[in-house]
Amino acid sequence: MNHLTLALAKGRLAIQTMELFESIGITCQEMKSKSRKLIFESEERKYRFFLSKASDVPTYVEYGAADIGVAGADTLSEENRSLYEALDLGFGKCKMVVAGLPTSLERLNRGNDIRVTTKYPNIASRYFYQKRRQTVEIIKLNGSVELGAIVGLSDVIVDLVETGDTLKANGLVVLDEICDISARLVVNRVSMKMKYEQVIDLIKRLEERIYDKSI
Amino acid sequence: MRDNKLHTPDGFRDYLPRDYKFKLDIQSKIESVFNSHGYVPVSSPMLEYMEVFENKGSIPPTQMYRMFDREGDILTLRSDMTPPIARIAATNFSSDDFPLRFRYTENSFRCHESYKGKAGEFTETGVELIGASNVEADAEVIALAVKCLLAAGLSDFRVYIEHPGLISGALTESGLTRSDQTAAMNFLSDRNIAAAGKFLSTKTLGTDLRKLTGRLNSLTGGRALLDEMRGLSLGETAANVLEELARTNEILEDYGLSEYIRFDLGLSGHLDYYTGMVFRGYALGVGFSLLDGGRYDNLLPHYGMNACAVGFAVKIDNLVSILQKEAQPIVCDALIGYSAYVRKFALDAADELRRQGLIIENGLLIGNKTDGLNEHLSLARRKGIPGVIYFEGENSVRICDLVHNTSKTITIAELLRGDAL
Repeated sequence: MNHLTLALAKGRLAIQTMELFESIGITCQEMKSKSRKLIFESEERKYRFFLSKASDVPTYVEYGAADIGVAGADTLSEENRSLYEALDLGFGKCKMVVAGLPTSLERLNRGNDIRVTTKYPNIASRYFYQKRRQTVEIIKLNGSVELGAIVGLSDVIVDLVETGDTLKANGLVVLDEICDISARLVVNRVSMKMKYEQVIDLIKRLEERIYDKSI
Repeated sequence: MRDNKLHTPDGFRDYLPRDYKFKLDIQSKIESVFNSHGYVPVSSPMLEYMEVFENKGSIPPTQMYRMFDREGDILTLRSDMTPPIARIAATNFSSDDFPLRFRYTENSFRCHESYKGKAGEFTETGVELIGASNVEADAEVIALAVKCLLAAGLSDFRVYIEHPGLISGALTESGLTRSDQTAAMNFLSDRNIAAAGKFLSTKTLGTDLRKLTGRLNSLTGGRALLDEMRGLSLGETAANVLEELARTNEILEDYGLSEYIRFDLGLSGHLDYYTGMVFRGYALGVGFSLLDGGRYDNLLPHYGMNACAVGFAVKIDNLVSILQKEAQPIVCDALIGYSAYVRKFALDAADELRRQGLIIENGLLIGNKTDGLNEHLSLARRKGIPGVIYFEGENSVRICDLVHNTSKTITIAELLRGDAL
């Protein structure tokens, strides 16, 4: 029987994913050890895991290099790859928001002459062009996006907010909510068909587990 | 700086002899399947007026290569073969010619974002069956899809049939508001099963429809799934769709091909020109489908012909990348060499061998060296050619077998009788 190969977004999401997998009996001790290996096999050898940068997970899955991926809805929406989004895993919850100094609310609502800094240019442009019908200037940054608004590079930022502490500490406020974010399980289009039994078995077990927990 | 004269543009590639021959062989295997079912070849220009591709559900203009002609009309490199074939059918044929069966092998072009590894140019071998609207026509074309993947040498593959009408029909007749229907269908056409399921779980739906929407991930299967679904009451449209799919499946059973067929009832398909069932071929080894097709009854009317149609295209490059391991190096059967004064005998004899089906290369070494035979042997060794035929005199031919390391001298008559090879 073929392995199922899973790409996980490095970091907290991967840890939470493995906790969920352990709770349905899929364990992978290898992954917890501090080895330099890049690919790990689960104990019953039906699953292989690898960790990658979050934004690369959709790419691996689209090309079929991984059958299944776990990544945040933010990454999936930004990358906009052709995949099955099969399951909302329910953790990694946060919101995609527009934020800025309290004074920039008026500017946001007034017109087109707005500068936006973000790590998510595609999400930001869809939001501004399609939902708000505003023509804006989007500048992509690669980290600490809040700085953009604080030092005056931009009027507002589009970013993920979990607790809001970073915003608050820097005098920024949420001006509008774009969408809810959580971890999603995505499946390659061919794997969904050609490894159907294995994929659907995993999805069903996860689904039951998530459903149990939420009661 | 990149020296552009040494490179192909991003998304474009060369095919070198071994892979290209392999690709052509696959194409011709598939074409001969189409040919034997009465499909006749057509060809359309690589450049078309933009308007040809401006129909409902065509790919976005940003993905088309566009340019102007001298009159200022917008031209485009064709991005898909179905619209040009529909144009050809509508402007050159009439319903007296129905059913029309066309086949083609052409390259199409799409302009993708950089660094996404998507091909800008791709080859499709496909068919369009125009002017037949029944399930027999659907089944014929789906059967062809299976037969051509078998002919190409694949065995572990599936052709999945989807039908957007099932879920959209069931939702329309369920009493959901129009905007809720649209929202659910948009999730499904984005393949966002999680969001569609979650969204629908908050709505009031009938018990039977809930059975369908509660398992959107696993609405995949064969005849048993169709029978199970037919037992639910999902409204008239859905019942008709299921009836149609069941009949298609029955015909495919008669074709003896139903083992390769599966249904996926949970998807609404892409929002494109397809109006009925849609099917795609999948195999492990490449992350994308190998063939796409379906019924498109609204496309020909767009070009002024009142006709239904169904068709599909095999994405040859994807198929090649799955089967590529099997590509063999190309080597001719033998090299000929000769002294100048026996050239005529040698050339005549070589042509006769070619008529017998052998591939014979001319050594081209004549006149440069006096020691002809050894030169030819070393050339053949260097290129991995298994045999050398060296014409020493008017009726004396030296045959060297480089695989078994043997050689002998025979007459031309013996050579042409095939005794020696």
